Amino acid sequence: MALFMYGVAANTGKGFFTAEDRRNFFLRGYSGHDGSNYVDCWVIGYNEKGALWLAEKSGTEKTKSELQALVKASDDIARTAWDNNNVDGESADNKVSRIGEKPGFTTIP
Amino acid sequence: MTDYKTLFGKKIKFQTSDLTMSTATEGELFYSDTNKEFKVGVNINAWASGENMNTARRSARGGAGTLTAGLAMAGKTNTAVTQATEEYDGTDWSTGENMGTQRYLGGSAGPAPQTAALYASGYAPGGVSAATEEYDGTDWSNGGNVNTARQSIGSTGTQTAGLVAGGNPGPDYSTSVEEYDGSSWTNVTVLPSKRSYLGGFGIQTAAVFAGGSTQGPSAPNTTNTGFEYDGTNWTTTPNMPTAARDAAGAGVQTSGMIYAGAPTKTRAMSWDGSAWANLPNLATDTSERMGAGTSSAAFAAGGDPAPSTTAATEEYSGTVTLKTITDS
Repeated sequence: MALFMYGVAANTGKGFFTAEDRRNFFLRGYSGHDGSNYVDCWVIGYNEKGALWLAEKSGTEKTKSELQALVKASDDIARTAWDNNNVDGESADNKVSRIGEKPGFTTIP
Repeated sequence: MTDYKTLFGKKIKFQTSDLTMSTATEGELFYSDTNKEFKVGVNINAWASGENMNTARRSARGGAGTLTAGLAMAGKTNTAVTQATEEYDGTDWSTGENMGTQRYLGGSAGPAPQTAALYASGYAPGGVSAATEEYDGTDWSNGGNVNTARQSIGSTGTQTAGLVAGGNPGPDYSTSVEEYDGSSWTNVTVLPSKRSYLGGFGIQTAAVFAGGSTQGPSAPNTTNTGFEYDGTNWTTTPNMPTAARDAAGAGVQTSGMIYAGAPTKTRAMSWDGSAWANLPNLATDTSERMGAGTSSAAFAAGGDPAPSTTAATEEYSGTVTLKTITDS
């Protein structure tokens, strides 16, 4: 039996997920990119309330591999941006001090 | 067949009307004559979505105030270092006065109220900055410069009793600790070891700093160790359940929390003055957030590396909700 379902839905802010939602089903969000825009990716506990939540948020259900691909695309963009953010003569330490560590890859559950 | 009184030694309360959520306590069982139902108070501690900020940003380390009177200052957008200030009322973010200088990875006085905030040092375009700015709820003005300009500082306290610890003045991490009296910074007892990206909470004479990095920038070593400060001396705390770097902090020395630190970005952990414990997780896997509040009502805002920097906010609260007891 599946533990999670996967989907994308824009985080509209206040009330998008509530404390009651968090109690009713697992929910974890990730940044994703669909090739054109950033999208809010969600791993949702596989139960009726989780499924209803995604539907009520006008979300689109994805497979795990589809959602992982969206998240990886966002990670790739962040990592490329980090690689390309350079200052002439800057040491590796100073670069990390200036812009932080190079972003890693995210694995969704 | 046994009954409730036999099991627990007392009768179930008979209420002519429902208790309100503010008067019920967790685990309180009663019979509501209004609804002809048995009910119980259930404490729901959870992170829920808050309103999105107007300016998406990260790496600010610039949260202050409370969940219903919060402040977000400084940070980096996807394209620039920002001076933007925003005020949160628990429902909406509104734009405040811009800071005088663009900075990120500085240190805010998290417990300071929205109308008396402090932001010290950090990274400005061109290098680390020693500048301090004070906010009165309307305008920013200059305060005294820190003695050691640095970034990725641990910070807490108030505008007239601020505290910064550790950080990275370059090229190595620092043990330096400074106290602010509202006009100038004074060097005080140093941290037991060099550290950057500490999470912190409490006041100048009763503070906790935990987590962070213990090595240089290119080989950071995220730690789960922490320190307490009594205004004079540092002592070590027990280790946190999970290491956390660049985490937000909220609360006081006897009831605080550290949350949203890398690498386990959804982790939140409570401190009761003697031990750490895990709290319910945040929902979004986001680092470099800013936060403030208490151990029972806090916010986490912004975060994530460029170019996916976010404006999203999460709110932590513990509320007692009435649940009807059914036989299913």
